[in-house]
Amino acid sequence: MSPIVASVLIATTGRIVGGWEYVWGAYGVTWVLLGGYALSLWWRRRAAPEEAP
Amino acid sequence: MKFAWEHVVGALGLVLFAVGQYQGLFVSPAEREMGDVARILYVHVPSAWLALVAFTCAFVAAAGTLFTGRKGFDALLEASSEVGVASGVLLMITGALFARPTWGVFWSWDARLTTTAILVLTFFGVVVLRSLVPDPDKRATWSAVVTIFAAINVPITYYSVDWWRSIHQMRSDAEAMSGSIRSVLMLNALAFLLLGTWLIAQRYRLARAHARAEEPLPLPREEAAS
Repeated sequence: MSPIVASVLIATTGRIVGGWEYVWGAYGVTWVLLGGYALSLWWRRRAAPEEAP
Repeated sequence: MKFAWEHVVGALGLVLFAVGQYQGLFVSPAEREMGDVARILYVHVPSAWLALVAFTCAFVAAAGTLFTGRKGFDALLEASSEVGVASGVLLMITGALFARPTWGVFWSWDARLTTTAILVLTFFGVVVLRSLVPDPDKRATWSAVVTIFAAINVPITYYSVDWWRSIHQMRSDAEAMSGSIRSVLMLNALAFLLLGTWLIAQRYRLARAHARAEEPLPLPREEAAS
């Protein structure tokens, strides 16, 4: 959807139209960051000197 | 890796996370004014709550370190600070992606955004400080003191939208939200908290393992005279 069409729809309906690229971006960042951090912990625990009791 | 209680919490969190993300993307209705963009709130708000809980946990651990000197508190401080920073970074990225279509900009020097940035940066400083100080006792004391100063900003950030005029929306009243939106938000919030608990527990065990490796070996004893 072009920005002009989106602006017209917002003006006439009073509602933000579209924006799915931001939605997917936010969810994608969430999955990558949480998954990446969990993986980094798993990797660091494998390389840790010894298991805590 | 041994089986531990946190894996049950983590597995439950992962299931709720999968269901919550699906509901947030495909089942929850579009919001009346924000449309589909409001779906970002299902990851933005839970990451904010997780960050605040983790930073509060770090504050409690810092106080425990200073008052008792127990190594477990120091490991908890290390774990919750790092998870809080990760969640805070997620909070700020998803916030920027929510701000662009709703406010027209990715960032504004608004009170809520500015205090959040300072909060995340100061706790990032705690994480960096811990990596720079080799002595375990000094590291524990110094990072506990800095954490307590950093945590002063937690209530300031939380109440910033009440205390200052802000472009950021006010703290939402659960009663004001429609039932379908509230239930998806709560589901995702619970999933984030469970996953956050699992992450903190994993990071705690890692910190404990490193602390044990840093402990000096016991001096060899002389054999008893025969």
